[in-house]
Amino acid sequence: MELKDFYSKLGVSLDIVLKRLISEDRVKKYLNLIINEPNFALLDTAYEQRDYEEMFKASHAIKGLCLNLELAPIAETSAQLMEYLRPGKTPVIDDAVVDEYYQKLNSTYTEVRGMIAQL
Amino acid sequence: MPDDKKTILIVDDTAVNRAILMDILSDDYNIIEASNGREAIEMLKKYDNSIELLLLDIIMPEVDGYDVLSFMKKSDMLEYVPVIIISVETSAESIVKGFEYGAVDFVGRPFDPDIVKKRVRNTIMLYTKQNQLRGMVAEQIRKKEQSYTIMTDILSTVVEVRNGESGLHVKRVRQVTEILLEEVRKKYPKYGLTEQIISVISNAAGLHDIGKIVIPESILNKPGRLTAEEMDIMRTHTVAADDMLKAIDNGSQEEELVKYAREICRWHHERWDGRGYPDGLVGEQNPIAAQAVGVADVYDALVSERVYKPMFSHAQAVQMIRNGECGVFNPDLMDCFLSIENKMEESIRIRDNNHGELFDINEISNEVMNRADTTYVDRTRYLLDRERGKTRFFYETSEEMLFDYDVSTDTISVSTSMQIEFGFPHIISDFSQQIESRSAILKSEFRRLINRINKATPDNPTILMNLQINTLSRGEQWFEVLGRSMWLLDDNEETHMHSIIGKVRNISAPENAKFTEERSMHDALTKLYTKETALKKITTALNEDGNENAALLVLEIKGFEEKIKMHEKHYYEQILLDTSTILEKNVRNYDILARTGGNEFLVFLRKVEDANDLTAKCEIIITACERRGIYVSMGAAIFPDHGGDFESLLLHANQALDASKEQDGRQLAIYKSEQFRTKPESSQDE
Repeated sequence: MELKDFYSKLGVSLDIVLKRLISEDRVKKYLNLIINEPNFALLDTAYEQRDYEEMFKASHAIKGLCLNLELAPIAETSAQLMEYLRPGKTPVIDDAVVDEYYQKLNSTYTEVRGMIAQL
Repeated sequence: MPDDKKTILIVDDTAVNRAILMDILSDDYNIIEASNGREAIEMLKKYDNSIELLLLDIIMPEVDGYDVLSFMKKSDMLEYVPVIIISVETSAESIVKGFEYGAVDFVGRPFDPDIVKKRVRNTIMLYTKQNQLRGMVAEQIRKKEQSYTIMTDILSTVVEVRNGESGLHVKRVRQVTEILLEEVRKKYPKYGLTEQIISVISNAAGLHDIGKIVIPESILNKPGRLTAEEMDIMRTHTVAADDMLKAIDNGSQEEELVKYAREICRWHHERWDGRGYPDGLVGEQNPIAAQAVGVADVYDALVSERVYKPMFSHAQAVQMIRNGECGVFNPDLMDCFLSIENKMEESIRIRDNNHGELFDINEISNEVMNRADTTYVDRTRYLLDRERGKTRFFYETSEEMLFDYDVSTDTISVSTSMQIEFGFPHIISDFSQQIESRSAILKSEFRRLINRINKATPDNPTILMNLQINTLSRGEQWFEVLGRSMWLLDDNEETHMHSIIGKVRNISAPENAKFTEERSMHDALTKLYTKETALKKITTALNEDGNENAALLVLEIKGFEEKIKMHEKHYYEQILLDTSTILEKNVRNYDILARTGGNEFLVFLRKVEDANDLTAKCEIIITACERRGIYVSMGAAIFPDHGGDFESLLLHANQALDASKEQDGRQLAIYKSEQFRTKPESSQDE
């Protein structure tokens, strides 16, 4: 898959990405780094253990790095999860809501990851 | 690796973010990374003064960005190292919180490379300017202090000489006063002393006896006891000085120096119990400045030879003062005097001759700039004090015979065991003259030592030799002296030796002698053979191996000349050690390794099959070095094709090395005889 197609599937113009990250090689390098990014695994573990604070931190980190790489779908879903879990924001945390947001994030991540593998 | 680029520390728990920032900034800066708060703190501690700026993420596991900022604030690093926060948190609260914790700027995500670069650059520039200004203020103050000091020195020396004193008396009273007041400042804040005040008082202290100018010489220099009448006249020097200074007043009554000088001149003979003169002040009626000079004056009088008394030792003088034999002093002052007793003896002997060096210039300039706080704003001074403390501890608790020789003052200080062995005092000034007169060592031995010391260079700073020295209880013995010369780069870009540190070991016992012989066969730093030893070993090997092919390699570390600057000394020592380790790992144990120069090594490979085999082996070494960031050039000569003995092999290997340097990119060159026409006989070999 071409990098251009990759990004257009995500609804992002490659030009914008290149403006910030300069070269296609670099972008590919960063995208590959995402595949091994520990925060995704951390998020999974935290989810299993229902550790909301850790989940907050992990989704926070994920949001950050996805913003940098213009991976809009993941950025959105992680932001959603993150904001819900922000300490002090939601008085009573509804597990069902957490599940829903987490699944969304998980699926966007898996999808994008698959696409990266095809680059 | 240190070069001229400034160093930036990037702290972020996400590899991608670090990679992006690294790509943006690595052209202009040297980047080091940390992936969490704890690592960041480790790096800050390790790199200490060399980090110019921090890019800090906030949300990180375990130790977060706020913790890092707190750590930096506590260790005063925020004064020198600006922190820019790079965080996903963009809410106003978190930005404000970041500033409250001490960050100076904030960069949001996603990172725009131009913005990041400019922000980083501007922030660094700002802090550099600040440090420059600090330096300029310090310099101005130093100059001012210097001229003050010189003037008062001149004046007081003139007066003292008339008294039959040397200018040394004035200096010592000044020094003791300063050291004493330093201690008072630390222990008894109620006296309200600051570095600034202490420096003025110390200057004024030099003037304490200028009143003696009105005393007739017949009384001043009378060798015998003074009559009661003469005593009375003598005592008027206190009031006379005060009157003179009052008369000089032209509005400078407010000038601190004059104020303190009047106090000191008039009242340095007052005593705590009111039995001093001229006014019989009691206790704290006497200002602390005059009290301190009183103690200093008495101490110095005791340890100097006078027309009316012999010289007492430091210990005796302390005892006498303590017992109140010279008058009763302020108990607070006595407490301080006794706690600095050791420091006093040491400091007075080793003081530099520079005027204005007596005061802590950095502290004064800091006070001037801060008015209130006296925190350790100058990190360099703080680090220096720390190192001094460590060195002192190890020095004092070691059982070995250690020494520390300062070249410019020709003063040596030795550890306790050395004092015992040779009957030396802790500190000896004018060492080079003293050592001969103490008959610790023969003139000829001493000359040998000097010659060896003069051979030391910044590249080869180690001094290792055996000397015969006379001990206190066992007569002449042999000692191994291992010294390390330390070098400074001065303003003219020239290096000169400023001190030698080292240890001394008794080797008269037979098993020690063999060990020493072993030692001189090896290079002190890398423990590889020296050139002479290698020559012997290789020649022996050539004879033993008969007709087997062998190869001699000369290896040189590239770019070394540029890197040999004083502040990178430890870094290039590390390179040499790494290289020798790589060589040891990549040759067989019957091969021979030597270090033959500042950046040169010799490798003798026995049982080499042919040129291909040789090339392969060399490539391994070159690659291993490259992986450690070390770039080498190699020249090789094969036995017996390129030479039948060590000398010719070495010559050809060196020629090959020169050739390899000319060819860009090729790091290894094997000797080819047709390239080198200067040696006609070798052209028959090919």
